[in-house]
Amino acid sequence: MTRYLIHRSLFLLPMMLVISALVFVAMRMIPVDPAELVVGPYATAEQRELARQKLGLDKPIIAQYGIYLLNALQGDLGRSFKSGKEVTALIADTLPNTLLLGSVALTFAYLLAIPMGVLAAIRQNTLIDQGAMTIALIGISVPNFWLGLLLILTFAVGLRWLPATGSGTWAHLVLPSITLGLQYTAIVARMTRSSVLEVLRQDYVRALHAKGLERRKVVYVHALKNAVIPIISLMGLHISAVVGGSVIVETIFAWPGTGQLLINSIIGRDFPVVQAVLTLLGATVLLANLLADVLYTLADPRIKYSAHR
Amino acid sequence: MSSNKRTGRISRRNFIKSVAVITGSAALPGAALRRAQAQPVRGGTLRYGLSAEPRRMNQLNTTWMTDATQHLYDRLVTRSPDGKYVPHLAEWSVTDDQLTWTFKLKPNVKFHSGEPLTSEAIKWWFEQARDPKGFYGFKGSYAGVREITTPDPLTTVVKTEYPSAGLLFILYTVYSSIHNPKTYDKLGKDAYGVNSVDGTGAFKLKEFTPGNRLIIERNDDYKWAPPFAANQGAAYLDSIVYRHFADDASRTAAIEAGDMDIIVQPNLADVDRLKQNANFTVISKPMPATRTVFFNSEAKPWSDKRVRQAMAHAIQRGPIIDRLLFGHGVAAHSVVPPMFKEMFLADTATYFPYDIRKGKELLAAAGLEDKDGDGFVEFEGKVWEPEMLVAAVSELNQLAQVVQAQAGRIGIKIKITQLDAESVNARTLSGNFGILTGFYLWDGPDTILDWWMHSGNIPSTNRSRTRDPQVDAVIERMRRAGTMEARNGATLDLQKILHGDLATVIPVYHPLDTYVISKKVQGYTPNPYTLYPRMHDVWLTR
Repeated sequence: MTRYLIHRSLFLLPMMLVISALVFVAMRMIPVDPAELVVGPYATAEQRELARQKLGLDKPIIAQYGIYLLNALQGDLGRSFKSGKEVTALIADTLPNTLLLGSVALTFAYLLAIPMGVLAAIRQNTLIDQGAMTIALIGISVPNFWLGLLLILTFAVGLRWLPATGSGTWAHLVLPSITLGLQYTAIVARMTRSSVLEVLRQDYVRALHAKGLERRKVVYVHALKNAVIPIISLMGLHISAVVGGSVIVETIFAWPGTGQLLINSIIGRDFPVVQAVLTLLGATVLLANLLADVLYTLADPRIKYSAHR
Repeated sequence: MSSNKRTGRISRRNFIKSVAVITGSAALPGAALRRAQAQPVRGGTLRYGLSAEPRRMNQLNTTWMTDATQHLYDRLVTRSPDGKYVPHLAEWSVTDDQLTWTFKLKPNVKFHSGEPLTSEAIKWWFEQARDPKGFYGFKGSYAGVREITTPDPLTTVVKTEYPSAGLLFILYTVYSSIHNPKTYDKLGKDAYGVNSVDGTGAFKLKEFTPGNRLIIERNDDYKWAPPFAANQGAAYLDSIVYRHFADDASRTAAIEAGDMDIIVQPNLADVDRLKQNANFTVISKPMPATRTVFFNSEAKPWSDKRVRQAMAHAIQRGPIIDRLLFGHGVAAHSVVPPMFKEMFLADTATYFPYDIRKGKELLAAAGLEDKDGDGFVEFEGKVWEPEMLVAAVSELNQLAQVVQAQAGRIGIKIKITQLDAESVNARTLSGNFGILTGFYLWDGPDTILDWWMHSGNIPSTNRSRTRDPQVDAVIERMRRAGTMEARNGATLDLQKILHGDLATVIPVYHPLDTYVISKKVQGYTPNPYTLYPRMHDVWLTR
């Protein structure tokens, strides 16, 4: 396992290099002159040229990437064109907020979805099953920008129970977490239901029933343990998706996370920030997949990894 | 040397009258009068919801400032609510030949760091602004400055190459904010304006966390408010917290939920509903901005002014204001908004009225006719389908669709291409476009005419590629005007040529700046002539 982790971690480095190169090239392909963003639309040609030199844009793209990489390895991702802040500081300010929102949303989603999925499976084709799956269908179908506004209008504007936007207290987390988590609740509940149903049809479950084991123990102790394996791999995807996918929810709730940072930077053509956040999102996907693989082995002892796989 | 000193007090009544006349808004006078009866209270934090994200607060390093910048710094000159230039940090005088300006600083003004404001800081500012190697976006406005001297700690003498009444405008803008050079040099231009600033403004920078909030707190030493402020001492508010909401609906919900005290630009569809809510006051003030249809005068057949004039006849502004903006706009016939009374040419409304028949006649005269009877004119043997660029901004996109439909009435089959704003920018810079829907937001519309029309500004700012010796001559006259009267005269002449003949820009509407204000906020009076509101007289009820 340790060798496997070292092997996978080493593999992450070239992957990160590829991601950063792709992001860097993609940013340079956008038909925008970053120099103009610095000096403004009413600058002279001379001022533009000075800005290009200052930003290193007069150098070949390979040289530009080399400088970027060298600086990035020393922890210098440049400065935001808009705010003037160091990009590393911006990410350090916002990433914890996104991780907090994401972890609360996923915790909410999984805590709700797994019992819901199990209940739907053991009460298959009953009203409970249909009710749970209808909720899941709504969760998947309702766009989160609409759901977010609906929750704001109901619980913040109408009932005044919770704040509409912002951050700082647990109350600020409630509405964005529900908005972000509900779509994952829906997916996980459906996945849990089908996974539990599949396990319940296995021979060993029948044998457990035949042995006279209590139904609750069969489902929650024996069946669920095996049914949860595909859900763990889903969790890996969700961790990366929740970091990248919180853009809309963070924007609606003015939540100060990397999602909002990214969208504001895209709107403002703040290239150094966009570049860094996109690379970070790429890294999150890689790390989340690694985490899912590790959790997989913990949940299913039959799976053994080796460095030579 | 003749003295030409200004003082700038304006009564609240005159201000209200001027704004109400411009906007036709019934809400504003009532709200302002109600506030006039209350007694100010010191203390409290104002929560302010912005529609644009705050940026760095150093005009030498950015071309887009944030509302807070207005309060962190002061300028030599300011503008009263009726649009007049009045002294702020300095009284000024100018010689008869209009070539020597003397700025006399108010005594005992201090930076936030506690250091005194002296003429050295003013000299430093002029030098930075005209530095040929600097990134300052409005360097051109300081181009005429020849020499800056400081005969004593409170006096700065600025000599110019030619008379330039326009100097007052740039000196008033937030882009001529005064900094402490010592702090600036100590922090360096990349770091200054990010976590620290050292201005003389009524508020100090406390915290700037991009994507989250910007907090400014009261400068207790402040005793040099602009002459038109009712409160001449330190601000009433303890602090202001700015937060950015990218989404209009979220911003609106935030004030309705009690998370904010003021928001700018609510969802237009919600404005009428908010006006009915007793908890809020809704103020719509004219914005120094114009939404336009813009042409490349070198792209055929738009190069024929009769084709552009035909388009001008096709634009029907009423439905755009009523249905697109829910009434929150003013029909525009000039690039210059009517609030700039002394430079606005009212006759422009009569130049190209909505007239489909005349539009078709002009197209026919230019050789664009519908020969195959399909309802659309042909150009070079086939149906003419000009591409209209539009930036991916919903307001401009909607405007483009209306313009497309209205152009169809005179037989022009416009094809809309939506691109991101920077791609539109890149294409207009290279001249690779024929027509677009565009806009500007700037409180010096005379400067806009210079940027957009002088042939010397091609391609950077004159994207219509207007080349007209008569226009150039008038702009030169405007640039070298020694008095505002002379400069305004040139601005009027330019509008006559642009909107009465060339039609390289068709103004469509002037948007309104709309604020939703909680009833607990008192003393807020909008100034239609400035980009950013002032908070010096604002206080909160307990």
